[in-house]
Amino acid sequence: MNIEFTLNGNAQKANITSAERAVDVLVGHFDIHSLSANCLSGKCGGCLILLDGKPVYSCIMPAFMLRERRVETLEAFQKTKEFTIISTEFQKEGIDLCCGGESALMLLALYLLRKSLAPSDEDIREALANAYCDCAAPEQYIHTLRSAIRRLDTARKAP
Amino acid sequence: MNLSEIHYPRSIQEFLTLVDKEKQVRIIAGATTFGIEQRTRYLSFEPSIACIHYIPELSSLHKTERMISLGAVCTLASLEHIYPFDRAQARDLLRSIGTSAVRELATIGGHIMYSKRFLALWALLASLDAEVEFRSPSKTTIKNIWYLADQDGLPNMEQNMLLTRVRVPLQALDHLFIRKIGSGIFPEGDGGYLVSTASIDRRSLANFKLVIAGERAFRDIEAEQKIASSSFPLSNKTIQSATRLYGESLRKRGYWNTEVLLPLISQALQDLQRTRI
Repeated sequence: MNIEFTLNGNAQKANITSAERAVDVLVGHFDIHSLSANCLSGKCGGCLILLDGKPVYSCIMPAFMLRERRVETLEAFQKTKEFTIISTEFQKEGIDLCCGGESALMLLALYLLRKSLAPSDEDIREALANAYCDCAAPEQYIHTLRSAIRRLDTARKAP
Repeated sequence: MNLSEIHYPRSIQEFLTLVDKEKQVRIIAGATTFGIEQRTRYLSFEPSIACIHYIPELSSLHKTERMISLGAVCTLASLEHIYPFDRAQARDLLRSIGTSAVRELATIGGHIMYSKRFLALWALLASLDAEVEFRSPSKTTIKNIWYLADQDGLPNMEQNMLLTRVRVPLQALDHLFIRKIGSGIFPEGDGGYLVSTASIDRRSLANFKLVIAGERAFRDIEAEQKIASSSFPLSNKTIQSATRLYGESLRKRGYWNTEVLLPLISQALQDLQRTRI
């Protein structure tokens, strides 16, 4: 069957079956290579996307549930000023994100930033639990994200 | 790999017309249970599936003076700041279900209608006397959630009916005791939850409930009534006598490890005894 949805701001059409998982359609039909379907059980975070602005695992989601939804992945976020600021902050802190965790950790940072410019530690930990990645310890991630938020705030206020 | 015909009803009426025509339709809301349970690359469903996510009436949430009414496709994540999950213990219970990326997909309807066992929130909802509303082409049924368990305490979910709303009566939760039992809950494991709740009005108890739910569900209405009719704070004698009643009842039904549960029941009653208004 055909479904329509929005992927990284662009209207898309896909011919899918009931058997396909959302992650497989995003990778196979649309070349979204920031995603990986490793565990197929919503644990590793390699398939994390923002669905209607919220983080979800696309490996436990049937593709037919993408219909009329808005999907965002790292591919679009990478082109933004926010991404440059956040990734620069991660590099400064010496956090070298592995390829499996980078997509999820960056999308979670984007989600937290949109939600609040002052996310609580609890909110950050809660979001961080969605990604299985040893590259950044929770405290280090919180510290880095807060630095990135300060930089973003300064950048936004700059003339 | 089975391929299914997918329907996207836009209203309850459209769904009911579909069920009337097709008879055997698998209802899908968040679909997380299927996605997690099926470890194969390709998912399998029944030949005909109805994705109810796109029915606006089912995602609304209303609050009145007497109750919270949740549409069946409200996600678990959307419940975090509303009664009873505005209480720390209940919120912790909610947050024990997967991570937020799972709870953004999983729905309250799918959680309640899981047919293999009672999932994490069931005991809490049962202890709060939550009601569930079902629709079929011919009727609307409203029942206490407790009646989704059969006489043996096993899940007894409505077939070919659509769970439309879950209503949780608002009450003062002066006592709320939640303990996990056993290991995992979903998708495998022998775990469950023991939940007791009560409202206290001066020196008397109201609405005392103690529910255990996992592979089976347990509740002893006689023991609840004995406790509710006792003066408050509970005496040690009342606690001992109620614990004995629960022990007899558990042994009689024979499907829980009584020796593990009795100390927890006793703890729940002691927690109730210590409750201050």
